[in-house]
Amino acid sequence: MIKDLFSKNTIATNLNVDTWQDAVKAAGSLMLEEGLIEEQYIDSMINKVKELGPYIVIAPGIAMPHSRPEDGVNKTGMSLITLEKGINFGHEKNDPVTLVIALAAKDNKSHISSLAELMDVLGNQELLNKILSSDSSEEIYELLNKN
Amino acid sequence: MLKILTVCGAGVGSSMMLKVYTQQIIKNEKLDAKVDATDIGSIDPNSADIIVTTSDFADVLRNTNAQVVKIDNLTDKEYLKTELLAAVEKINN
Repeated sequence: MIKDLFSKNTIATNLNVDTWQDAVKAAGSLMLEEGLIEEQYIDSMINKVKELGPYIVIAPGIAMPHSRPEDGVNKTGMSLITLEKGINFGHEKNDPVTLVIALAAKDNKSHISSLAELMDVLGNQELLNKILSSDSSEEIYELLNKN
Repeated sequence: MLKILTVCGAGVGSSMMLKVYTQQIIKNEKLDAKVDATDIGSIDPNSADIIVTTSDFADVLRNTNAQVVKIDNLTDKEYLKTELLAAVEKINN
């Protein structure tokens, strides 16, 4: 279930950031405040992009920063932020990014079916547009769990 | 039996998602195939018949003998299905 991954506290809308690093930090901070991760995990997500490239931009306009379980994950969960203006991550096809969904995974199994459900939501253009244009984290939470 | 590997950077995000989707396709199309997920650091590129990955890593994997399926949009299952079936076809012919 998608609601196993998100809480209303890990969703924020229309954030104004200038760089992809700041976008990842903003999404990471929400997970940090909820106790899902240790602070080092945020740097680790940024370093993964520097090391491996912008592959985390998984679909047009959507980035999913994450790192490995041993890099400081306390509990499996996600955060979601929408950005006021599009940010380039350096991806050839999927830039600019306006939706950042950070993932903290405690292992490589437990979150997978929920993640697949989330991809179905994001693949639904109508739901995606509603999420992108919403300015209420409560509303986004409801939209995510609609499927 | 065909061996399919899904590959991403950390082995917990995109590759796992690609694995779920690939399994769904295998089941629906009744393919004789097995799929595993791995990360780019620990992959043996010649241990698979088909490698499913994002474009960034496809460049890293260009020396493999496997068929490489490149995915740019993880929410586009239809594209994955088309490309995967085309790769299977190539191997069978």
